[in-house]
Amino acid sequence: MTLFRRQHRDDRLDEEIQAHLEFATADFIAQGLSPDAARTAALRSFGGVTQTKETWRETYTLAWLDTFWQDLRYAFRSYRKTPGFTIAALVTLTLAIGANTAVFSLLNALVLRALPVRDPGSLVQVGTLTRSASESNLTLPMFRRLATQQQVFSSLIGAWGNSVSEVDTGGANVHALIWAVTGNLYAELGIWPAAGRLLTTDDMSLNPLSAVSVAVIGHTFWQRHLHGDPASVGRTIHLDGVPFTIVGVAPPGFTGFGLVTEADVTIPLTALPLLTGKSIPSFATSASPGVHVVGRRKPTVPIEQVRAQLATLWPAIKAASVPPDYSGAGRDDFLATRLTVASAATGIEIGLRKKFAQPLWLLMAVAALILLLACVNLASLFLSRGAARSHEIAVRLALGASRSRVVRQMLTEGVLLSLVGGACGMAFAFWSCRAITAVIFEENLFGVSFDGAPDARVIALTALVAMTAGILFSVVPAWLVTRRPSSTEVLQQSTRTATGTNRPGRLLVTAQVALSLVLVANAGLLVRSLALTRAIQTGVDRTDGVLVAYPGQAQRGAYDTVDNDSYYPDVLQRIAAVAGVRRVGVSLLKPATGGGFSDLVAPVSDPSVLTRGVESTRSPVSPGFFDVVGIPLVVGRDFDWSDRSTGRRVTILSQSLARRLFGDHEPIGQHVRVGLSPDRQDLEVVGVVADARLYNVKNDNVFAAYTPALQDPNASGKCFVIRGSGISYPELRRAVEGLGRERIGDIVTLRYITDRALLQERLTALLSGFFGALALLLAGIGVFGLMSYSVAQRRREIGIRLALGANPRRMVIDVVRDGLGVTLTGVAIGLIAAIATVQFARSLLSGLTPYDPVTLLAAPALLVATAVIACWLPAMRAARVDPMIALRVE
Amino acid sequence: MPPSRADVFHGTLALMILRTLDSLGPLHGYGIARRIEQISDQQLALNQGTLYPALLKLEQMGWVTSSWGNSANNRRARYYAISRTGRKQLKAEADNWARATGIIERFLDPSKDLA
Repeated sequence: MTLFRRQHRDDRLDEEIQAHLEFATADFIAQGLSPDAARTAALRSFGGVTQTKETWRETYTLAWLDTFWQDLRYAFRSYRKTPGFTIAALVTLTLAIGANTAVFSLLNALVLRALPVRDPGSLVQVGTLTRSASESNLTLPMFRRLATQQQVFSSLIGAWGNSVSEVDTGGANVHALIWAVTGNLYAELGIWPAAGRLLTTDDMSLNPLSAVSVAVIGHTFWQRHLHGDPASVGRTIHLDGVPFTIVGVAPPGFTGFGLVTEADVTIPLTALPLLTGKSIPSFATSASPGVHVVGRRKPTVPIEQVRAQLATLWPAIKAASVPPDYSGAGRDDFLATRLTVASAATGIEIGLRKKFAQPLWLLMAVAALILLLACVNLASLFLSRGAARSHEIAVRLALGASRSRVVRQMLTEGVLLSLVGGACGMAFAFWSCRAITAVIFEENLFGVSFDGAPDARVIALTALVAMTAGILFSVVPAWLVTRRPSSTEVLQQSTRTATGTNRPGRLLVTAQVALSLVLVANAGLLVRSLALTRAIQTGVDRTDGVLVAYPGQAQRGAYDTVDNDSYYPDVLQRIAAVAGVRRVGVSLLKPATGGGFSDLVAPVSDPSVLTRGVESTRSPVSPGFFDVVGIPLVVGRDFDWSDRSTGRRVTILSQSLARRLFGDHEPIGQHVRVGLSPDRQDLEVVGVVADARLYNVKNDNVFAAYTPALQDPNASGKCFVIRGSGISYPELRRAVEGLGRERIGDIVTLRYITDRALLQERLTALLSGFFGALALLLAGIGVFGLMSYSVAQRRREIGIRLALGANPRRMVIDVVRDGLGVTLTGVAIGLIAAIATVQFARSLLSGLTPYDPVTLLAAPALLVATAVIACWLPAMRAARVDPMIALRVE
Repeated sequence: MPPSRADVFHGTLALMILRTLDSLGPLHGYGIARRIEQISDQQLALNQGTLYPALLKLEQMGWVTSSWGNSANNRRARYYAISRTGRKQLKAEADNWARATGIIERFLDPSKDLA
């Protein structure tokens, strides 16, 4: 724009100078000079052409700046004069721009931003898909073969982790995240050490398998456990009792291929077997698909070619890598594994990204709509403000201000407002990003170095968005306001006529109401979905501290010789002896992790569960488990220690399942089949407990069959549930580890995991609820602005009607009806749009369909109610118009 | 900043332009320059180019307006005209000038004894 203007003004001067010189030359020729001499004389009398241009430009620019200052001062003054308008507009902008920035920051940080490593664009991730389509990685044998046979990567990185080990730092024992990587990783990613050196290709080899026992420690770990002591380099630490020499410290905030977790200790990939007491060569036949593979593709090889080449290599690699002890179905499953190839430019962040990418995109769309809505809102506010100022504007036009001058003035006002709003929005975004990040990672056990705050890219985008918004919502009204037939006409009309219709204003408000309805309906669905999920009683008493201790890594051969019948009471007794522990139980199914064993349950009278079985959660639990988590026993008895492996096969059903299977009949003493396993074809029901959604909080299937843990052949993976207070975690760990079989992994509160299971829903509902409320508020402001304007315009008409004896209540009804007319049109359009768009939220809903009638009725009702409230003040103002004053305004 | 001749010159130049436009009506830049040179009896060595920034300044102050027009021999040129506020300004400036020159004259008049 500036460019065009400069061009334009330079053209003007050029032409003037040209004309001047021609006139002068003609005069000199008339005086008898030759054309050439005349031209020279003309130039001489003109003086310096370049200098003239310079001075001229300077004058022009200074004046422009001067006008800019004038505009700015004028804008400040006029904003100060209307504080209500200014605050409404600023709050609108702050929230709208802030919300956009916050959501985009998170989207950027979690989904879009490239890894902060050298040339992230050429990194390619190679993974596998199992037969059941779950994502997995490569086994070491696969990785070794791939590394030697491929020709598409300039280098191939393998990484394993993070696993948890107990690390003896030479003074204290801590649990740490262990990452095992190939020696080329750091050099390939262009990472430099904070101290000492990083791992290199000399530290390990894949062919033959070998490793040096060296370790690189994470910066946070170094600071926290080794006090950032430079002399740590060269020291020996023990990982699960195996000595490693620290050779260096990774740079701060290096989170590998992920976004969140900094590895505490990084060792050579091939040294990994040492931690479990195995030999390095034993790794060659490993069946664990734990190697994350990332390759750097050669510059000339596009990713499609990578995919194609690896696909041709894959069958042979797979066949050669079948673990020796696999046969039958296991072997078939193994051979059904497929290879996946994807860009790793933005890193490998499976959990978080999967969980949040979709809701974040939805929220981004919602936030963009909010911004649009805010612009429409501000445009209509500016329009009515402009209309209110039309007298002033007409005066300025009449005094000789050009139309573009007035438009420019209004543009300055708009951009000023939006930039201030943008700055406030930025602050709001920083704050809310931090808050949201804190929620996402609350109580994360290991250090999180995740940066969700807006970066330069986001800040630039915000500034751009704010500017664009400012231009959008000020230019249109400015144009409309100045597009009056003639200023004199306006001067005559301004206070007199009831122009009434104000079409642009009405259209804008209709659009606002429609947009708001879409947002409110969307928010309503998500909020209701969360409420439904929460409202269904989890059936778990969460009032005081229940801890869940997840299983950690077991000792080697922990379960080979275990006698469950004696081990269970033993380990539970030891835990119960820890200070502060009141009761303790075991569940083999992990609470609130979403998954679990699911089995069909049927009365034993059915020949098989396959015909009429009821799908239920099956969880093996210890005696006392229900008591600990607070699931009340409805009838019958709890398991006891006599329900052991040699004892009678028994089960406890959830209330709903018992009722479903046996109706009003006494369930105790009935016999049921649970699943297809031969040893669960005749279980006696000894008890019924209340329904609880302990294992999958989101699933409303509350059918559950509990079996005695002692009667379950699977003894690994115990989750201890512990009720008590002031419990020392290390003591808990020692109590379990003291038996020399199992370890305890993470310890968290039950409340935390049930809440955490709903984290994504909570955040999505919270944010979209916020957006919905914002949309409602904006629609309210829009209607309010329109009606205030209309009442102000019709003061005279209203005054006359009141003077002629009209009932003031009639005025109120008129105004409200007028406002509702606009609102209902918007609601009708919005409802259609909402129905067309809510299905995008489908995958985020549980317990209701996108066409939830409650939401689709409540949202319009809410909007209409808001509109009525928004009409009320202008309506009262209309009723209170003093005819004398209104008529005297002339 | 040293007292610059240009500043003084600018002030008087503006006055000359306004006066010229006031008496002759709309003129293009060359016309104004010629007129100023004629009136000053060629005693004033006007760098004609300096006229244009001065005209722009006057236009920005709102004292003159400008528009494209055609000269007698049909050459397109920018014509400047004095505005109402420009006339007011001219009157005020002319009065000021008269007063100032009057004072200076009295100072310089050898017939008056300052002591």
